[in-house]
Amino acid sequence: MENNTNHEIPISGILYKWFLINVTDPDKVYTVSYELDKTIGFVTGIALDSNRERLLVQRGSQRIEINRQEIVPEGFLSKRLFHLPSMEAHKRFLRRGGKIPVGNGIVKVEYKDTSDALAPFEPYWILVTLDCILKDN
Amino acid sequence: MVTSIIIEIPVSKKGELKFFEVNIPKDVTLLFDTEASIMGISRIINIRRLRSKNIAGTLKLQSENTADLHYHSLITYGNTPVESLLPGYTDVSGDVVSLFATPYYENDYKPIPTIEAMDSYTLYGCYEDLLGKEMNQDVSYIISLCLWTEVKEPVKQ
Repeated sequence: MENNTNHEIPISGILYKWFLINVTDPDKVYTVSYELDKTIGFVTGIALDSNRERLLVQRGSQRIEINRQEIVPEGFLSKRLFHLPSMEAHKRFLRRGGKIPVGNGIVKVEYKDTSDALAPFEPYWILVTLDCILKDN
Repeated sequence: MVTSIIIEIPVSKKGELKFFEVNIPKDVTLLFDTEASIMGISRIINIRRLRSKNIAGTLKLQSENTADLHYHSLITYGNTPVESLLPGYTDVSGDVVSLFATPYYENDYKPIPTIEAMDSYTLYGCYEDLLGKEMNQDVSYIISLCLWTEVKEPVKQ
């Protein structure tokens, strides 16, 4: 996967945005739409984290859209968007090559929880983190 | 632009052989990685009682015009990477994948040679269940196959 370290962008132009998805019941699809600030121009990376990593890794899959464009297809396992805390910071995000224009600023995540006997269900949350670039960069 | 193609293969019978076909869109210019992983296991598995520890099955892929396989992988299950970390070695700034060989990483980050010339847009696959055979009962689960591809940029008018 391409590691986009944004060398040419000043530090004032880079920011993280994050939002939570609360998973309260097993075997359900949770759809969350998040609106980015108007000052944000591009998204360069996506990462997932959770308070129960085992459940996220074993049970989760999702579809992600930015500006009604499919970035991550349905059925894409959450373990591919999850990274260990000891991973280098610039490698933690899934980079889909270059900058994704934000457009209307709406990020839609459809997270699906699937039962797995190796990870019994308990309520958990998922933190979706986006690596963003401000408009004039 | 980088995209991925996801194929889900449901398995439910003991020793089941699943044959499937993957049609790759014509705008794909490069197939640069293949990953396979397991999810949704229906039964609790006592690994200590099994001979073949954490192996769920084997997955093979073959392209349309050749007789040989271009991908073969053992699908494994087990602890998540966080639980498999070696204690005291978490604060490293290197490549974690090579430092901590966990069942999860062994399976998920198996690289294949990059296929640069796309001369075949159909892949044939076969998955053989070994977990149900080993446990001598039907175990249902899903194998998720992810093909990382690069597609042509759409021409802007």
